[in-house]
Amino acid sequence: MSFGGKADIAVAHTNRDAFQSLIDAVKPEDFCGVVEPVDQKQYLDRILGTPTWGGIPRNDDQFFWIFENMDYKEWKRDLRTLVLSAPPERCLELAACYIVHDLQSINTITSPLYFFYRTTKSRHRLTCRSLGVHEKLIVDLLYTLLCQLIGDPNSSKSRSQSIVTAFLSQLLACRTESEFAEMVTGTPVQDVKQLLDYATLTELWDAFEKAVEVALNVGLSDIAPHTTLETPLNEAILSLTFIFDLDNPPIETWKSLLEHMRTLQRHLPTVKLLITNPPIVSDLGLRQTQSEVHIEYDKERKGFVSYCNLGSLIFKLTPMQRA
Amino acid sequence: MSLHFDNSRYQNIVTHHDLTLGWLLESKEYDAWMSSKSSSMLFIEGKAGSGKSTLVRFVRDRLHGPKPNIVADFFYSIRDGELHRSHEVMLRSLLYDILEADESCFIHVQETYRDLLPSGSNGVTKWPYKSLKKILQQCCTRQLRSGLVLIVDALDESDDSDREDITTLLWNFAATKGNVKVCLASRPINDLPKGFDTDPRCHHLLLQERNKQDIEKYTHHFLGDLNLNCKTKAEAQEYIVDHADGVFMWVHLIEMDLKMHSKNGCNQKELMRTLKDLPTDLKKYYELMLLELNSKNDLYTKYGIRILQFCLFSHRPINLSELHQALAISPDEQDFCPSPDYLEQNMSSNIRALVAKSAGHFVEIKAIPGYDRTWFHFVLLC
Repeated sequence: MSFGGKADIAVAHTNRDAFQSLIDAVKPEDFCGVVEPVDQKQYLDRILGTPTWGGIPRNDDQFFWIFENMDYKEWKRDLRTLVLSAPPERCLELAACYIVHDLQSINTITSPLYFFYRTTKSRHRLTCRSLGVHEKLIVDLLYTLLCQLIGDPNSSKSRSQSIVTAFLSQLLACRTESEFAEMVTGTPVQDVKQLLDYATLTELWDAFEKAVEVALNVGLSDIAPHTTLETPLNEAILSLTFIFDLDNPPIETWKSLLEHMRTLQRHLPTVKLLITNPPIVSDLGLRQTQSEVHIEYDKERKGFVSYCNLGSLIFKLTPMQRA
Repeated sequence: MSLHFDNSRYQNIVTHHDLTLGWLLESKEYDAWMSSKSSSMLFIEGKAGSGKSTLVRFVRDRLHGPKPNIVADFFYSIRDGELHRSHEVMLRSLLYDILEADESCFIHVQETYRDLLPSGSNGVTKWPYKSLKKILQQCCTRQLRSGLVLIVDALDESDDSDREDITTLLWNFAATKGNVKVCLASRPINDLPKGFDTDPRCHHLLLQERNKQDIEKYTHHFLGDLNLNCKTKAEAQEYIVDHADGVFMWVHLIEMDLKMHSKNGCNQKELMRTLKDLPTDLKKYYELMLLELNSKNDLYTKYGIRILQFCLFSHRPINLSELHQALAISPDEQDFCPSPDYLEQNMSSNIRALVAKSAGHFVEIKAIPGYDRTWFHFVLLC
């Protein structure tokens, strides 16, 4: 027994080291080939290139209620989370594309990461042995965002490599000795597949967080090698924005998504989030704070008009009636 | 936050007679103003009593077509109190109408609204005058979902201070790049911006030059009710049209006087004499009516004076029930003690008849939509 146990440990050590050295050799493009991200850019380009939406010609001014809204402008500057909701005829899915486009024009270290839930509807996911259906949707999202981060046009090659390495190393650190004993080293691609297959959703989120952290830090040192996050750089430049167009996913999916994003924001203060088309906003459990703001189409104006009418009624009363 | 203002003047404006105002729709000024694809102004200028407000109401009521415009209006009124003369209230009212009709303008209000919100909980927060002007200007330059029509009546009755500023502002709205149509009505005033009425974007209607035919038609119509022979009718018509000088209100007062005399049994000769004895100047006409009210000492004259006093000097417009009870209290009563018995004995058995008989020339009873009571309204601008 004792010999056997020692032999297992020896194998595991060998495997961990072997995996680590192979992971270091995984190229960013190979990694993205394995995780098969959902092509968001193709969707974005297709939507933005369509002259009509739902049979209605597109109008540049149709999203005034977002782009000219104080809360949206504020969010672009420094708010943490913004949720947009509107009736279906307001085409929020189209608005989300415009928002991505709007944010891409801002000079930031990292381009915004975005995900349209509707792009995953007919997709079969990679195998993830421990994951349920809604978790697989989140995995889709995570891999897609990760590949956007890796392929960011603002990124240098070394930055992309660092992101991949950070993500995989974090997953590797999660594996137990007995799991290593089951794993067989092969090509870098095969190793990546094995690592991903073993990962739980929480582990994937942790690894994703690590990758984002590395992306932000490396990005920062790329533009200013001696600058640290404490240096008073413009927060908007440092920020990394996530945009999710939810479009009716299962309730577990987006609740879990929001919770993980909140954790990410807690750990990485420059991370910002925009959610469009949440199925039921009240279920999001938004915190009534300055850091989580909800814009509902035309709600504030309607409230204002009602308020004015109420004010007018009061105005019409005699002083005695007012009292 | 009382952005909305109950501008009740519109409800009290007399609607046009079926025979009148048809000319407006065929006039080149109205056509140019309505059909213009760029911003413009219809400036209706006229003497007191020439029917400007009725014309403005006519314009406003025709704006609800198959492709409705966004209509924001305000009717200044000197007789309805200070608030109805206030420029700030006018701007608030226009802004409210626009905001209620088009959601896209709210973004211009959002910041001011949020700033005012904490202190606006009692509904009477004062909107900064400068902000109102700025916000309205922004709304006017915005591409709205449909055309914007701003209607402002009786500018001459507005607060004298800042009138020039407001006229310039309205003119600026009418000169914006988009499609803002402004309809402005006023007696001749000296507060117009330079070059205002010669600018091609301003379509100017001088009412007393346009309403002669309307006066002819209207006079012909009411003289037909007086059982006059053709000769007297023609003579009366000629006299009235010649002396009206575009003042419709004068024609209306003549109508009421002649009808009253005819009802009291006057013959045609007496009617003609009465007609020629009546003042041709509107102000003198009012003075005469008030003097007549003061000169008699009968029961109805006393009631008439009291009705007029209650209507003119009450803190707010009073309703019929309030007037009914107020009249029951005799001004000579030394030891007035209110009780159901007292009211039962002293309240008029028919308040409407009493008002018509005692002060019919000066006041009328009107049911105003949106109110649950019947309110008084002064017919005349004294």
